[in-house]
Amino acid sequence: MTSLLSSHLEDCSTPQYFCFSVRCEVCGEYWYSSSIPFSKAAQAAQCREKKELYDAIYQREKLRAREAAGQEARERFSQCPVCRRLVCDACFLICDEMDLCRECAGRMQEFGEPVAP
Amino acid sequence: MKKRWLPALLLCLLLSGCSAAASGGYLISAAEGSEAYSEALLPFLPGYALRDGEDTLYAEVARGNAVACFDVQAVPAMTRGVGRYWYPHVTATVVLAVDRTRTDAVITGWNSLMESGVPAGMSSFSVIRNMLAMGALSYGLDWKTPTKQDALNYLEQLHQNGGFELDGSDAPVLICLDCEAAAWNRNGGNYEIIVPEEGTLSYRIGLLSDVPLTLEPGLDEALLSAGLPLAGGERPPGFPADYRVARTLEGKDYDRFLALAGDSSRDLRRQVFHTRLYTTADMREHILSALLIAAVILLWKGTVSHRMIRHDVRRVVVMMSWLMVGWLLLRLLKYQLPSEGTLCRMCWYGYYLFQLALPVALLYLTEILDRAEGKKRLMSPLWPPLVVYILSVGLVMTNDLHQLVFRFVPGGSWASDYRYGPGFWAIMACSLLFLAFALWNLLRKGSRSSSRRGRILPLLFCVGLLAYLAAYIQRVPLAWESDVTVNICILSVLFFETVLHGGLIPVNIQYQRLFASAPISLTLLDEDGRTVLSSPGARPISRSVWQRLRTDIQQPLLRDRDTQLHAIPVRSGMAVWQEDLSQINRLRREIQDVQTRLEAANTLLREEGEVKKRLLTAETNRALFEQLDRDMERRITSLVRLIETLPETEQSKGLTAYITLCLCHIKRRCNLFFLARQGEPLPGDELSMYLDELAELARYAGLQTLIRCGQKEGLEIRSASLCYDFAFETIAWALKEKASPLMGYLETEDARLVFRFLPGGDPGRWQFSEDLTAAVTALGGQIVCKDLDDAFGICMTIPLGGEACG
Repeated sequence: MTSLLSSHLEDCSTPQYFCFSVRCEVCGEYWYSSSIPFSKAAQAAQCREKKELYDAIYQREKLRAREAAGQEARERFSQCPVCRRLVCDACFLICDEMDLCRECAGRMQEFGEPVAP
Repeated sequence: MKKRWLPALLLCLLLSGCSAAASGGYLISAAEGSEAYSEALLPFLPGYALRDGEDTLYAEVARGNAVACFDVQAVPAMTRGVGRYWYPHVTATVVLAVDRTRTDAVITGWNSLMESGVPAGMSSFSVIRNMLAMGALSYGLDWKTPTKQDALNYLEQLHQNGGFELDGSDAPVLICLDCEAAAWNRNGGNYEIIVPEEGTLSYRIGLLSDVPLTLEPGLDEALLSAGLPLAGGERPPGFPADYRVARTLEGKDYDRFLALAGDSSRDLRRQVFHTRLYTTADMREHILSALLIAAVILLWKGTVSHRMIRHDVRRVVVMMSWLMVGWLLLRLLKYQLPSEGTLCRMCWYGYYLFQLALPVALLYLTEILDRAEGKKRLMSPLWPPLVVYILSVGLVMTNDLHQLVFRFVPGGSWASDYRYGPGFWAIMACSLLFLAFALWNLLRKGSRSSSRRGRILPLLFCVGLLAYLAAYIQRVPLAWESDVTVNICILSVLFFETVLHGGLIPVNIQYQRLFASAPISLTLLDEDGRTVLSSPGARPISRSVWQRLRTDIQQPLLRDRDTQLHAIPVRSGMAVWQEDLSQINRLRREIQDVQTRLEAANTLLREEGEVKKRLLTAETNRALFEQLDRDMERRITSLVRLIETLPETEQSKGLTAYITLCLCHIKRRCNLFFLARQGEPLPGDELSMYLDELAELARYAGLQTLIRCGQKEGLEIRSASLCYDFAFETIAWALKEKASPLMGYLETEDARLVFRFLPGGDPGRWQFSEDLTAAVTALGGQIVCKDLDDAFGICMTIPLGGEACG
């Protein structure tokens, strides 16, 4: 699941903050992770060496933010056991026998409540 | 509630919770009519001092004081837990006191009073006395089923027949207490005390206390000697002998009494005297109406603030609202004050702090209507009203020092006995002047409004104001008897609403209709991300999207691949609109499809073009060589014949040279042929070289030849070919005729190319090939042979530039 999420994380970061999005493969809506500000966003690099240092810090913090976004996305996305797609809580139904995405549940005529209506 | 108000609220609660410590030790004469009783009682109540009531009866009892009051006050209070000890001592009966010095009418009771037509009145118009009289009258008219309405109808009829006044202490007949009338008689009055034959009520006066009281012996005698009838029925001289029709309340009668006599003052005013129909009539209504109107004004402030766009106008609304609420609350405070002391008077003066500010606020409002919000500086024309307002308030608040505004006797009953001084009229004139200016501004700016409502509403407001003033002057009850404070508040609110609905102030109304009919998907979120308003097509904004928008509101983001969200910050939230990208995405996909198809078609066309090019090249080459073959066929045939005759001829050198000359000619003609296909001109130097080459080979054949080329610029291939062919055929002819030497000259004359030859022999049998002659003629030129006396000349003339020039 983590690797699946990691592969679906899209980078929406800017030089000021880190943000990642995941797109539900059923409804198509994007979910955005909590924005994490870059620690050096307010400081301008005066020289080339410092800029390189800031770039390195940016990449390191971005990596951490990506991991945090993945953890955050785990709370809101599930993998459908049938179609193996990544779906948001609004499209993931808790059914009697097996939890399914909305489309698979419809095909299999299963009824259930969404995780997050 | 904002946190900054909490300390102030706590302070208010703390201060309002503070009260004087329960002191006790006072004998309070709380009820009107109990003063004589209190004075007579005081010596028998050691440790107590007589004092006027400073608060309500119940509050005084709670403080540990002994309160002199009627049983209709004490008994219900005790049943509700106020006061634990009740000591009744005196009886007071409601009677009719007929002043025999003024009327001889036979009056025996309530009905005879009605029939007599003699004016009657109440000896006092205090609330408790109204209650006592109303109760006695109700029970007197119908002891078994007394009703308040019967009593009110009786008094209304009495008022209409002979005149009945609440404050009618100088009337010939008074509805009063028997002890009161007896006291008047002791003081020289001539009142006949009549116990109404239909019936009346006797009330007991006593002491109510929270603590047990120890009274010294001898109280009854002292009360009798003071002219007060005892609760046991014993009466001093001067009272009627027969009190059998007078009843005393017992047990549950008190509740019934309160139901009958409650709100007596209000009912007397409205149903008997038909006054106070449009304003509050008693203390309870005063308090409730003030609270209700204050709440309505605050509600109005909230709605207007919600509707308002401009912050400066919103500040005016807030200021006006608090002025009105402050005025009402100050009035309420004044109602609560029991005595007419300095604080009460200061409250009265304080009214003008709020009242005088309202016209200034309205004037300020009308001044800023057509100004941009950014101009926050107070405009200079508004300084004078502000200064006048401050001076006016100062003048009112210091009235005790100079008495210029209100004039009354210091220490007297200022609340009811005062006159207006010149200062009052001056400040009222200023205030009215500000109001007039505000109205003038309203009318002036309303007349410039583009909407009909904006022009009509200010006029309607002014007409309404004038109608109110006219009704007030004419003393129409609706205007005259209504509460001036409330009216001023209502007029101020109406003034503002006129400005608002006239479109003179931009407002935030019709938002729901705007969103309901908005063609774009627009959502308004509050500061917590909750949807406040949303257009029909807008899908809800998820929490994660809202958080992301809040982080970087300038950056649009995708909800899904076909929807992009844009946001702008608004007050206490943000507005989010959704841009539908599906059309753009569809067009982009179509463009990509078209581009792919075009690229494929282009590839096919390119390959087809290359194939065609290759085919065309081959075809061209073939046609070229065919044409070259045709062009050279005659020359090659002639050359082959010459070569075949070469072994048999004797002059092989000359023939060989001629063959070489022909080969050279064929080679150069091939060159010229290809150059012609390339479309390039032949440089003059190259033509000169070609001609020199011919001359060189002619010399090998034994012909002295000299050809000069004066043409330096490039020549068109056709002209160059003609010149070259002309030179070749001339040399060939000269070789054949042995016309050595041969001199040739090529030059340009007047846009013509002239090529002259001077042969060494007679050119009489000269003849050029038909091809050459036809080509020269086709080009617009000619070849002529000229006799020059001692020589002959051959000259070819062709237009320079070829066929196009000719």
